[in-house]
Amino acid sequence: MKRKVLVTDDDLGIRKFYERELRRRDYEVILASNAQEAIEKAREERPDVVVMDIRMPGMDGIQAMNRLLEENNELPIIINSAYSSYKESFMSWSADAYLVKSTDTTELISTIEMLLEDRSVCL
Amino acid sequence: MEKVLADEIIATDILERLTRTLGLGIALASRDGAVLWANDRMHAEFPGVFTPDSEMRAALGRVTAADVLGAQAVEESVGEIGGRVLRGGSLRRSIVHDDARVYRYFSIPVARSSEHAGAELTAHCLLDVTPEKHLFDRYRSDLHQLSSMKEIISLLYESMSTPEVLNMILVSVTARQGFGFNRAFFLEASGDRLRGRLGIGPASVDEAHRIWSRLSESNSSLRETLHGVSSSGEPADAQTHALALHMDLPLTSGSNGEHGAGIVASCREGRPDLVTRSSTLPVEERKLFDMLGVDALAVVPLRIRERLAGVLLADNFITRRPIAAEDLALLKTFSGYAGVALERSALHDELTLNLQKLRRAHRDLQENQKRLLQAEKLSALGSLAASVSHEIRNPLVAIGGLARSVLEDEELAGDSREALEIIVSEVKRLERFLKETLDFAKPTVDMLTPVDLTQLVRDVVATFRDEISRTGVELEVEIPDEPVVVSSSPDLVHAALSNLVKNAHEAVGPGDRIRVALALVHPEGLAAENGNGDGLRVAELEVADTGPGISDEVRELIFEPFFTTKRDGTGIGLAITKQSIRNVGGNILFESRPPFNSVFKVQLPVTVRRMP
Repeated sequence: MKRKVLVTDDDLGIRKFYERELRRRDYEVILASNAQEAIEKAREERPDVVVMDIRMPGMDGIQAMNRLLEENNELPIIINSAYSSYKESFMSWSADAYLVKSTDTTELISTIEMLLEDRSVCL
Repeated sequence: MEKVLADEIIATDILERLTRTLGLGIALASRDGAVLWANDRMHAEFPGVFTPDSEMRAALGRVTAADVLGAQAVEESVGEIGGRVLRGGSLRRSIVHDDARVYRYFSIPVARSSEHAGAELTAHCLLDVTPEKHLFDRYRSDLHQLSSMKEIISLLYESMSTPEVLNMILVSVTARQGFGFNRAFFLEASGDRLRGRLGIGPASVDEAHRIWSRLSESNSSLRETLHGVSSSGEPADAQTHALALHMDLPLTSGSNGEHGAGIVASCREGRPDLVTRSSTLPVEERKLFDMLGVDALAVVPLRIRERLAGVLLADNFITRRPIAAEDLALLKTFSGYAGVALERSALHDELTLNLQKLRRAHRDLQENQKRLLQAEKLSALGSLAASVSHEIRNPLVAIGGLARSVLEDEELAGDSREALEIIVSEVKRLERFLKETLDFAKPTVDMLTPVDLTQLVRDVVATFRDEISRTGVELEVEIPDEPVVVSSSPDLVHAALSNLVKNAHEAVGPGDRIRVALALVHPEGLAAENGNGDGLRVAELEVADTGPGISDEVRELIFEPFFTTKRDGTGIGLAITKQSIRNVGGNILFESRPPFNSVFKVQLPVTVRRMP
């Protein structure tokens, strides 16, 4: 069964890029263009892992992450932002990882795989 | 002849009465200058001189002596007296006798007889004016001392700081043109003690002769002497000064003294005194007399308002001249002015100190302001960089990512593939720029980890080596064999070094040299204080080039945010490099050391432990 990744980003180009990259690696990709949509999609689709942008119009990625965790405390969430300067404080945001957006997806993919593996061990 | 005698007797009678009322010494001389007669006073004062038939000119010559007026002056006066006597004129002239009595001389023509109206006899009169002369001399000397005092006081008021004023006071007391004591000491009242602070004057007879003859040869004014002493700074009085520093008297001593005599008693009562060595003095004071080797001391307390500031001691250690009451009186007058001068200098010292404090505070404030401004700029730079980074990164990742993705997926025509490959590589370059430059503007610090700088330098140099040699630039690398480990952020140091090498490369042309060196050094100023210097060493990364260097005007600005001289520069590279190096406890410096016109030094604290 394919693993589901919910990618939340307000930038269409970024959504398209991750969609292609993840699909090619055999993930099922669900896209959300804002925080509210991400919360709804998460309820409907039950993703295995969430990739979340921080700065988005309306609710930001950190608030969205907290809402998602309220509903499912076990949900692995990767913060994937264009800001490099928040990297140090991600630990306090209860995200599982903090990545800076890059055209090189190696780190993103390996983080997703690592988080999914962890989860399967727990289960 | 009898008639003549009778006339003379009449004349002498009148003269005798003059003698009694005025105390005149009178001698009568004939027209040709022969002594005819002298009264008792004359005989008493100058026995055997004015005898009858002796020459008046010779007689007068015998009562004058070469003395303080000077031989020539006396001779002249005698010559003149003689001449006038012979011509029968009248004159007045002081004559100094050899026992230092002073006479006023005058001559009166005396009528010899009623038949002859002309003056044929001359009465030569000597009036003893010794007391008047003494009074006059005294007056003259007082006047001299007053003018000296006036000069001393004006000099005293020109001195500003307390050491200057103290020095002036003591020089005034010892200067020949001042009060002429041999030595002078100042003891400062501190707490309940009097402690020697300054002493001047010769330490031995030899030294005294040397100094005094030099001073008299130079014939300098008091002003010159005082300024000479205060400005030459030669330790001529080192021994006497050392003596002063040994003086220490308890202000409480002497309370059980007989009549309140002594140095401390004089200080307590605030009155100048002439203190002589005696067994009734407190033991400390007797010891002081022993140390000074004198029997008498002029003791003059100096007061600032009602408070005892200290005491002036003056002696005649060399000449052994007794200290006269007038000397003490003069010092007493002087002490009032000296006290005022001391008070003034104390205020001056305080003002100077406060002024210094104010200046320092002002400077600190200016520096803080500068730092604040720098911090503000950096913080503005930080947030600007962060938002620029964010705004660029999003579209960049989309462009580059999608291009890459398409490149992997699709069957593409050769030129389309090439175009996509170019997009991917250009985006990679932009991403690298974001990572290396803008991302380091963040104010927070990565976790510090041990970094082996030798390896890091090799890595950075490797990425630039080809590019540098292609442009005909020589690259010199100097790395120690042993690892140099600092506690830092590898990414950060990597970025900083890359930035510096890149800057150097941009500044040079073919034939130039770039030098990258790593060394362990002692930070300036610390090496000398610390014997082995372990733990105080810093790793110094140096990037130097033989390019045109940096002008002095620009030098101060190179680390300022937004300052640039490059046409397409942003002015943030060095500012960010400096900030990030500072964030990990390091420092970055610039210097010029020909032939390397630009030398950037990154200093990083060395971790004590070596890498495993």
